[in-house]
Amino acid sequence: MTDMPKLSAIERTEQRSFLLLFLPALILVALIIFAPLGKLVVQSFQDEGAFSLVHYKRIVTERIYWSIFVDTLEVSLAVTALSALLGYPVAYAAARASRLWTGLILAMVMLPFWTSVLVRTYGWLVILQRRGIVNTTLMDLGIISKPLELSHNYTAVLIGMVHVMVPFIVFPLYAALSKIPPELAQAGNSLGGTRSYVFRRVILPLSAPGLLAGAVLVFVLSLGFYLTPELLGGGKTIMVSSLVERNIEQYSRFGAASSVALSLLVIVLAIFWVVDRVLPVEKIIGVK
Amino acid sequence: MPASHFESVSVRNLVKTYHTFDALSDVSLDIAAGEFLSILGPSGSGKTTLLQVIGGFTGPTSGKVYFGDTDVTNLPPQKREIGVVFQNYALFPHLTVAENIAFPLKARRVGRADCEERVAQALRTVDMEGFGDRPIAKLSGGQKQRVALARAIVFEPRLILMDEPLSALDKNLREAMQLELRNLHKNLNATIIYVTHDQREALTMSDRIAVMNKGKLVQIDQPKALYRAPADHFVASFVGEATLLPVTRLGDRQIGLGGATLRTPDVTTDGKLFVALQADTILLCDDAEDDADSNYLNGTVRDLVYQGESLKADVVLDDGTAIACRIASHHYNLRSVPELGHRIRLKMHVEDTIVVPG
Repeated sequence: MTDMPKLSAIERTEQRSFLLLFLPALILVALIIFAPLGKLVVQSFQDEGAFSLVHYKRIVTERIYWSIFVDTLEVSLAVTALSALLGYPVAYAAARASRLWTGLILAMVMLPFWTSVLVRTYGWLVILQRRGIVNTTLMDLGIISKPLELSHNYTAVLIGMVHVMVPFIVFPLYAALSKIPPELAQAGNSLGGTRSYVFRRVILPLSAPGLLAGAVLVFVLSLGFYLTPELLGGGKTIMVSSLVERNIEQYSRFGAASSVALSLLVIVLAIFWVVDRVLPVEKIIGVK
Repeated sequence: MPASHFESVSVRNLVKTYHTFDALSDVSLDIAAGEFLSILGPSGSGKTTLLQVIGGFTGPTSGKVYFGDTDVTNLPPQKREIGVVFQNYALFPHLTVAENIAFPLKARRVGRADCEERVAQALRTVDMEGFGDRPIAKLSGGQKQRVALARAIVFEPRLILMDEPLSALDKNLREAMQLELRNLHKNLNATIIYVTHDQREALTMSDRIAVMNKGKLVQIDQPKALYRAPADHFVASFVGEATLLPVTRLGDRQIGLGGATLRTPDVTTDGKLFVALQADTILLCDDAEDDADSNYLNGTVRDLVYQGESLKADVVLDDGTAIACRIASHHYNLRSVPELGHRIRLKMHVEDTIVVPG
C-alpha cells in the first residue's frame, strides 16, 4: 500500500513528459490549420487595406450569391443521398460475401481511386456528350431519335460527382455492416421477421453509424467540389468553389473569395451543430 | 393445462453435402411433443448443421423435416414458428430488453396492449421482472441468456432450438441455468432440441440424447441408458471419462484383458471388442477382498493429480496398459490414497464392466 502514492507520482511525471514529447507536433498541426484560417478571416474583413464589411454585405444582399450557396447545398445533399443509395447494396454485398468476393468487390470500389479525378471527369464527358457512347448506342438501337441532353447540365454533375463519392460511403458502411454478427439476421428471421422487416429493424439501425459517417464525409467533400461541376455542369450548375475561384482568377478579389469560403465553413459547422442536436446518434448506435 | 402449441418434430433421411464433405449423412430422428432432446457430439459431428436444417437456415441436400404432420422442409425460418436461442444469444444490441422480447410479436403485428402483457409474462417466466427498460449492453451473461430465452418463447413457437446457449457462462452459473432450463421445460411442456458438446449438460437436462459423429446419428437413448450401455466405441469414449481397452471374448459373460479374465454382463456381439472402464466406477480395495460381484485388477500408480473434489490416478496394469481412475478427495479417503509408484488393487462391479464393439 505504501507504494501506491509513489506509483501514481511516477505515472504523473510520465504523463507530463509524454505531453512534452508531442507538444511540437501539436503546435505544428495547430499552425497549419489555424494560420491560413486566420489569414482568411483577416482578408475577408478588409477592402483596399482597410477594415470593411463590404464582402459579407455582398453575400447577404446579392441574390446570385445566395442562390449559389443554396445550389451547392442542394447538389451536395443529392449527391449524398444518391451515393448512399448506390453504396449501401455494394457495402452490404461486400460484408456478407465470402472472403474472395469481399476482396473483389472492395477492389472494384477502390479502382477509380487510383485514377485522377480529371481523367474520370473527362471520361464521363466522352460517355455522356451528344455523340457519346450512351446517346449513339440508344440511337443505334432505335430507342431514341434525338440525342438526350446528358452532359453540361445538372444530371451530368450528379453522375460525375456520385461516381467520385461512392467509395467514401462504401468503406465506412462496409466497416459498420461487417461488424454486425450474421446470427442477428438469422435470429430476426427465426423470430418471424421477413427479410425487409429484419433489414429495417435490425440491419439498418445497426449500420446507421457507418451510414452517418459516410454521409457526412460525402456531404462535406461535395460542398467543396470544383473540377467535376465545372467541367460537366456547362456553367449551369455553379458551386461555391467556382465562386471562390472566379473571384480570385478573374477579379483578384481575395477579400471577396475569403468571405465566401468562410461563410461556407460557418454554414457547414452550423449544419453539423444542428444535426448533432437533432439526431439521437447515441440512441441509433445503442450505447450509453 | 391448456393445449400446448408445441409440436413433435420428425427428421427423415437428412443428407447435407458441402462440396464433397457429408455434414449429414442419412439422419432420421423423431422427437415427441414436449420432449427435451439433446444432440451431443464433438465439433464437426454435424450437430450444428442438423440444427440449422431444422431451423430452416440452410436447406438439406435431400431428406425431409416435419413439424407435427406438416412438411416444413422448404419453409423459410420466418414461417417456421420456432424459438431459437443462439450460442452468443444474438440479442439486438440497439433495443432494450423489452423491445428485444417484443420483436417477434411486432413482426406478427400483435396489438400494443396484448404485446405488453405477453412481454411482461415472458419476463416473469424467466425471472427478469423489472429489467424491461435495460439496454442489452448492461446485462450480465446469465441475464442475456434469460432474455434470449424469453424472446424465444414469447410468441408460442412450435419448438425451441438451442445452440450451445450456456457455453459462454462460467461453471457455477452454467449448472444453475441447466436446472432452470429443465424446470422451464417441465413448466412449459416445450419441445426442445438442444445442441451441445458437453456430455454432463446433456445428461443433466435431457429426456433423450442423440449422439452424433461424422455426420451420422450413432445412438439415441435416455441419459442412463446412454451412460450404462453405450452403443459403440465412440459413444463410450465421448460419454463419461472412460479408458477403452481392446479385449478378447472368452465366453458369453467373460472377456480377457491382458492376462486377466473379467466377468461382464452379456456380451452378444462378435468381432473387435473394447471394455469401457469409467474412471468413477473403479474403486480402490484391499488385497484380501474377493467378491462375487466384482472384477479385480492389479497395477502400479504412475501419476496422481489433485483436481479438487477428486484425485485422478493414472494406473499401469501388470500387462503394461494404462487406465485412469478417480479417488474422491475427502478426508475419509485420505488414509487410503496410494503413493506414487506403489502397487494397488482395484475393483469394479461386473455390471459396470461395459463391453462395446469397436
